[in-house]
Amino acid sequence: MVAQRRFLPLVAVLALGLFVLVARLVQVQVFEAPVWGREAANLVRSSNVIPYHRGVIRDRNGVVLARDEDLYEVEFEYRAFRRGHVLGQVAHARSALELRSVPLAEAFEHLEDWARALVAITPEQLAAFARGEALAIGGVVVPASADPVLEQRNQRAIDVRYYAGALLGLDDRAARALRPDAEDPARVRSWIELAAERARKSTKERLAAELEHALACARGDLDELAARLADDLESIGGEGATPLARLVDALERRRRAVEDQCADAIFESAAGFSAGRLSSRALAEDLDTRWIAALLRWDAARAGEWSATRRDRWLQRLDGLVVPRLFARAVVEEEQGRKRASARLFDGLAELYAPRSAAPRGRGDPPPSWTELEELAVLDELDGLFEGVRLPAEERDFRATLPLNDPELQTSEPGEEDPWLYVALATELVDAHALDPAAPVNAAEASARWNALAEKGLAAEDPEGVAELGRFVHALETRFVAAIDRALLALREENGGRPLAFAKARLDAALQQEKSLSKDLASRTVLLRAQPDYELVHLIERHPERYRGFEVRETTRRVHTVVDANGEPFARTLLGGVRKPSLEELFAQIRDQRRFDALKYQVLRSADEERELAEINARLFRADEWTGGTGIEDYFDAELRGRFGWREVRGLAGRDELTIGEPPIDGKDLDLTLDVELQRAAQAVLEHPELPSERTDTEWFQNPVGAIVLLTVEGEVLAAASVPTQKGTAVPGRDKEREYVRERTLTRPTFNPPGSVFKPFVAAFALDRIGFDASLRFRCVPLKEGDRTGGYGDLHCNAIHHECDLTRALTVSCNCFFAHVGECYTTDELLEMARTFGFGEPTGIRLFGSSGRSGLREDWRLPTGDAWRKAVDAASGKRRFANGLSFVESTPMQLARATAGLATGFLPDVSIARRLEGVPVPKKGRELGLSETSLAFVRSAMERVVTDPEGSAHGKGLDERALGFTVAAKTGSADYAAIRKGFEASDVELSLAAEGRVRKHTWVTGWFPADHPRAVFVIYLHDLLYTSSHTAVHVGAQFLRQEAVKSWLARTLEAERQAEEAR
Amino acid sequence: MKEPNDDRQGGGTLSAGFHPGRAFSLRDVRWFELDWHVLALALGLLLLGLAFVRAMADADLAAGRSGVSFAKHFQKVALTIPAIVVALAVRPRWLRRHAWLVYGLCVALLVAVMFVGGSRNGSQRWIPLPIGFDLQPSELAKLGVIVALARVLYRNRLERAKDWAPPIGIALLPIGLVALQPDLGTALSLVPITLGMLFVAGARASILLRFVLGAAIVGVCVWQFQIGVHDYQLQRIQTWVEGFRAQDLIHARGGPAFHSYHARVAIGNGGLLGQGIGAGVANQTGYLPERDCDSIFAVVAEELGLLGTLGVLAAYGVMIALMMGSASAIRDRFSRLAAGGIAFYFAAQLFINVAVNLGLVPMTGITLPLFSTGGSSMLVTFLALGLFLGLSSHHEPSLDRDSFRT
Repeated sequence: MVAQRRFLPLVAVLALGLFVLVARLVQVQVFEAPVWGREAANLVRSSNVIPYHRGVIRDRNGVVLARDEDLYEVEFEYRAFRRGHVLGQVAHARSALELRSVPLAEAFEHLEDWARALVAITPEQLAAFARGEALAIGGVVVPASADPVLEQRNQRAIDVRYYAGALLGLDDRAARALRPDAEDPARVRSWIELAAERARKSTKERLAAELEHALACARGDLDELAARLADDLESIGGEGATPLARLVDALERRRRAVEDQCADAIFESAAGFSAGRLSSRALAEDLDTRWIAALLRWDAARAGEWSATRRDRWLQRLDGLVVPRLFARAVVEEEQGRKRASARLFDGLAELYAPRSAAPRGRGDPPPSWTELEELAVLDELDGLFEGVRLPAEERDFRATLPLNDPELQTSEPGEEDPWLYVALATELVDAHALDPAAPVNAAEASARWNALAEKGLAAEDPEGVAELGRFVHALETRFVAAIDRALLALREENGGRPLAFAKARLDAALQQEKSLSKDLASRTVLLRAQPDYELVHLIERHPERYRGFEVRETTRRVHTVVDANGEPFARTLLGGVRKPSLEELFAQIRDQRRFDALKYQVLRSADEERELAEINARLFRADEWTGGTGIEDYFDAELRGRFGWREVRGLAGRDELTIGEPPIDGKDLDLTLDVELQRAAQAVLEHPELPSERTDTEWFQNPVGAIVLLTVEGEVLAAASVPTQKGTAVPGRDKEREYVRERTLTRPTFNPPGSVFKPFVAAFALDRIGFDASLRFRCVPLKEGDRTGGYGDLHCNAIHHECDLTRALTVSCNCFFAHVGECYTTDELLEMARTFGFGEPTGIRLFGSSGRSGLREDWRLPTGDAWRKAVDAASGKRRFANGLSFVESTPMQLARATAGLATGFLPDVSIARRLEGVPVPKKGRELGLSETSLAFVRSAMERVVTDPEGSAHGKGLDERALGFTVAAKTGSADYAAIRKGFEASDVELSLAAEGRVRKHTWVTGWFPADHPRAVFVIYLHDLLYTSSHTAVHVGAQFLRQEAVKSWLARTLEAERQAEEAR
Repeated sequence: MKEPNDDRQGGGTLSAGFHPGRAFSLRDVRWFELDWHVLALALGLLLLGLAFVRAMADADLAAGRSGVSFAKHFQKVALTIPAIVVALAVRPRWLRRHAWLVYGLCVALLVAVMFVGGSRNGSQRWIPLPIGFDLQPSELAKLGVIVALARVLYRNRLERAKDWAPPIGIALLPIGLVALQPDLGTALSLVPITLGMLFVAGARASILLRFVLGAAIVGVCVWQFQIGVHDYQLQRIQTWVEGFRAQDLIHARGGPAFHSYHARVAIGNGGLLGQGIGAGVANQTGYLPERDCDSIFAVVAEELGLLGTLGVLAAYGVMIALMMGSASAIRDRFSRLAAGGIAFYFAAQLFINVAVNLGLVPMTGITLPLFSTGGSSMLVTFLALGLFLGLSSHHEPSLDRDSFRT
């Protein structure tokens, strides 16, 4: 009983222990089951993204302007090739036997002989090989091994057995059936015999014939594939190299890349740092890496090749990826107000040189401050990394190895006046100039350079800044590698001069991960051909079993189907284009990405969190996704963009596969109000304006800069053309606008007053709201004797108009008269007048407003600050305002909208989108609130501009006889800048300058037919020496003469007539 | 009352000559008193383990992987299972007399492995044998410690302070030698066996608790101040601490937590009903390291699910409880202590193995008896099982003081 009493508490302890185990088991298997289930699914899952189609963009008549075109890409996956293609199988079986990376070309040359030899091996021979004995195969004798474990003989034998089975077409079940024989070392029959008898229920001869057939097919298939891929394969072996040789070489290069990556990953998992952080000498001589070579079946030469190239690869990665990213991130964080760029750069660099233990845990977590950096990467690992050897105590202090972990620099006071001081001091400390003459000589120069860059404005992808940082990082690297070299030499001395072998625990950890690393890296695909022809796609898709490793992937590209006469995409500046996300954008979504990761790995999620996860998933864009870059493509990106679909295969290939996924959601189609023919006509007229027969600005007609807008009176944009469409050269004496390809109908890149085209609006409002007497007569006479033009105050006309009433003043465009009208206004009334016609407000073309959208940039504001008001308050200010000068600006689109209001009494919102995914976009607008009498008065006057012999547009080709329809119009010229004097000025310019002329913008605005307005037009020409009557009117007439315009008008009127009849 | 000294009968050293009849006898076994239920449970678990290993081998073959070989495992089982009968036939009295010999042999092997042992997984633990598997002396040492402790505690009731020195010394020597290999996991697995036997021998629970508490404090200090432990051992502890929660473990899966991560994925993926034998992700991918040996519990949990795994744990629990019950009923103190020690051996192996896989203790390599494929582990398991069955059914006359206590 005593004894039993001693056991009872122990039984209780047993029960308690079991309870703890069960409780934990329940936690893991029940409560955490969803998260582990997801992780497990990830381990046996392969997934691919199914691209969506970005929405189609069409013109108002259904002509497709931009669409996504389906296309294919041919990719190559080395793992599938190695395991499934006879060439891969033979080459790798041979590599496993000979312990050298047998090139694919060599294996291809001996394909049949080696394949026959492989299937002729007996299990007994293979077992002896695994034990380390010699093996004679296919004319080659693999010598006996002194160290079968180090040489991985057992694993190599298993590899050979696998490839032999695969060559004989044994599937999983067949291989299983064959297994008892295969594992029996006493068996002396060849694999092909065993397979024929046990697995394939066939004869050796028939199996051999099948193998021969497969080998012959493989040669033919590869030949055919090579012929179709020939254009994309880099030439090797001189010009005589066949496409097949080039294909095999391309595959070999991929294999080497994959194997190099595997070696890198295995090394890093053992060492804790990248092989490229060591000098090539140290990697080759100081470290014992034979185990990596054995794992990858490399001989000494191949292993040497790997170790000789790691350092260069590391430096390439630094220059091509790490440094630009570091720089971009620093700039983004400064822009977001989180940290100064200089400090963020140092933090980022400290992260690069920090030991693993100091690395941030989560993706996107900010790095710790550089001032906390003490230990350094690599150096921190060395003590304890190697078997039986420790770093001597006197060699273990690595403080101040780099300026980044120099306590003196870390504790010095931060300089507010010079944020780049640390970078500058560090540059001097590492003596960057000694290594690279392009680097700054000392801290002062470094500081000056960085401050100059900062003053210029740091941009995330600024090549100058990236280069400067690159020079500094290279200097750091040189110092860092030298310190590692010294430490390794000390360790080697401790080791009696022998190469350093990794500690066993490190090796074991690496070997445990080797399989998954190799699988992951070898399964990544590379692009072989971007747009393969149909035959190539058909070839691979129809016979996947013959082209193992070659895959066809669906993708899309954006195509602009309508092009202009120059072959440029139709309305390029307005439609815009697509692009890949920038580095900045990718960084900017890091917070979303972190939240996404956190939610994804959360064990249990609420309904809200599930919704949030889905929303973030939809919001996050992929690095290779096409997204709106400019213009309409950008502005309507949210609508045009769809959502990627995904397809996921769970389970291992051939067994219990389950395919799930979601289909892609295409973007919405967008029907524009633009008319292709009208747009094309407007573009053509602007690009090739006809030179008028009268005196004009020939320079402008040879180098046009300007815009044409054509709206329906309901506000739909029929055409919105801008020139130049290609980057030109600035004309001497003019501004640089000819160098810039811009959208000019919605923007005013320069000071853009409307000039006299503003007068009709001033007149209509004055008549209706401030009681201006239309019959008032005002004299336009010279201010002083000898003047050839009328003048009033500081304003002049182009001629002496003598006595004018309002109608005549509008017809002849008398500045003096309108200066007087301006004086009748108060400042508030002037502002209200402008607002009534939509000046100073968006036109409405940005359907969804401006919040969160870019692309359709629109300038619409009028300055209304105190200084501006004060200037307008003065009489001269009002005079100029009423003449559309100095204090008022307009875009062509704003002017077109206002003109539509004048023509109809209803101010429409301008629209460029008619329908989104078939749903009409609602039309908006507002009544002007001006009486019909006042508006009719002004409309009549604008008709006279064309028809009256005194009219500023009379006899210029806008009359009914010339066009076939009537036009009401108003011309305008607005002073822009002084004519430049000096060596750039031509004789004509000098004479004009002597007359007191200035450079100007010229305009024509109006509508047609005059008595029944259907469309509104605005012609805007930039930076000319002559007035509208000599320039813009001619361009306007040329445009309105276009067949497309006449045809559109005829169709519209006919449609209205039919509609009327139908009613 | 003077303790009987049976050691004089029949001689205690090899110099007296080895007579198989004195060492082994099946005639003294009372078959009707044999713990058939323990044997049945053990064989049931063994068969279940065989089914799992078979499924693993099939999965590896299907995936074209080298790895688990059922034939080799079966060969080891066939080779080592006779150990049950051999150990069953060992006469308790002979064992008691030759306990020092057994212990000395185990210690000698532990010393020998330092010089002739093969290295695997970063440790020098194996002595190559030409019989299909290599011998791991640290596994045998567990039995050696049990026998030696039973021998020393046979007459030592731990009533005085100095009584504690011999049993502690006996346990510490192999623990130290095993730790030097280094194999801290196996070394520490001897601790619960020793504590259990000391308790059964009469040690006061409060003293043992102080021992445990002291050891825990030392352990924490060792971890915090990094004294006398290898970097990889500290890293394992760090990984364990950081990987207890699912999210943290997933974040750390690419580094040193690789093994723990895959074990946890497998167990968690089992859910309530399991994936079915051979159909778990651990078998499909082959990523889980040591899945046929130290991590086999993760495979079992994944493929049988919570309900099936509870069944396996219950079977183990019942088996160990039955062993403790049988041990407590043995009148002979040496046999009772040795049988109890064997029960603690099974319990310790089970708890440590399962706790490691569940992330309750830091990752260490220790087998799950009757399931794992290690040859030495299997040999020791069968020896222990046979010894237990023999000790509990081998009734020999005893003049032990406990025999007269009720």
